[in-house]
Amino acid sequence: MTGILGDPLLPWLQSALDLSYKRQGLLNTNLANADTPGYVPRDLEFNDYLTQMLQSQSEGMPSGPEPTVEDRPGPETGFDGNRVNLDDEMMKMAANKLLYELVSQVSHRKMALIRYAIDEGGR
Amino acid sequence: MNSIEPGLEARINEILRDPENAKTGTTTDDFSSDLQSAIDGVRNNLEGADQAATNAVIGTGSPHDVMLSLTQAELSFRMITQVRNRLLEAYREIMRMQI
Amino acid sequence: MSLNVFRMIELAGGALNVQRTRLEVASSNLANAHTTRTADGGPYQRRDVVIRPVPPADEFGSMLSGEMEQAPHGVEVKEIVSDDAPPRMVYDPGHPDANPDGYVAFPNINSVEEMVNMITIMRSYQANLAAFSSIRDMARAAMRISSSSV
Repeated sequence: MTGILGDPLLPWLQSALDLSYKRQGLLNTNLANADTPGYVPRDLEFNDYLTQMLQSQSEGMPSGPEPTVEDRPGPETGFDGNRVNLDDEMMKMAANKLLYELVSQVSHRKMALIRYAIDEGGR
Repeated sequence: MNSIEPGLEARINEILRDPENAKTGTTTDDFSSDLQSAIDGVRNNLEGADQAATNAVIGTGSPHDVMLSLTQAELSFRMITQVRNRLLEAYREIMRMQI
Repeated sequence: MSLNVFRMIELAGGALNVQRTRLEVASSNLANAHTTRTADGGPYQRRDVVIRPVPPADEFGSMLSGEMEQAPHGVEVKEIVSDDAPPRMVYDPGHPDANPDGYVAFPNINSVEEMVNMITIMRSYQANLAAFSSIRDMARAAMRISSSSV
């Protein structure tokens, strides 16, 4: 999607935002189902994938397999099969939200910098 | 800092450095195909931005998708405008020198 | 990516509604812990809320794009049921609602349990409130990506 812009960081930023956004959806669903009988919380791990993507880009190799959604059951409460630990899920959600906001900010700065370079670099 | 694609910039500099020998010919054939693919890229970005904007209204797609598409479309359009400006400059240089 | 802002807001909203219903039922239970005679006669019956997952609204669309797994599914109240546990019999012949044997039928409600229940429900409610805020804040952060200020 970068085409003429040619900046290798942009696809990485897109992936980071996509993955953390997807994860937020999962975590929100976990919280919505904090009391649903039989519900098992799910999560998406992407740290290794993103790290590897950066390295692959600099080496020109394709990145590894995409992260998948997996079950992450908390402790059994013994009542109705629900495995959601509210505190864990809330902490994960807060951290992930911060990640998304941070990457958004980085994307913003990057775009502003490119814009400046295009406008001013023409002189 | 200049983020015009290196190939294009090299071509433009070639023309500026030695305008008398910068005739239409093999060098500019490569250049025009570079330019064409850059323009195609800009068009793709603009179409992508349209799609992303539509998605935002319909309710599919994520907020960052929309913003990244729109911003990249804007920036690549700005970039191609700068390329056009530089080409015009180069052309005028060449025209001046042929007196 | 069809996991979008509006769906996520609906998800959080649905969950908040469910928790509010649970809270109403729990506080009704607590308030009536000692109600020995209701309008229908007999002691108050403890009630429970049964909740169930709700697949996303355009289930078919999600299935087509292969995203069933990742589409958020919310919750809704299935039904409110009466607890059919037998009432607590307390010996008190002087009580206006005593039966011929001198026993009064009290609701089978443990006040402490119901209060703990309400606290837990509140936590779930607040968690979903936080989920809603996170969606809103993330969308705002994304919208700033295209802003011109550096």
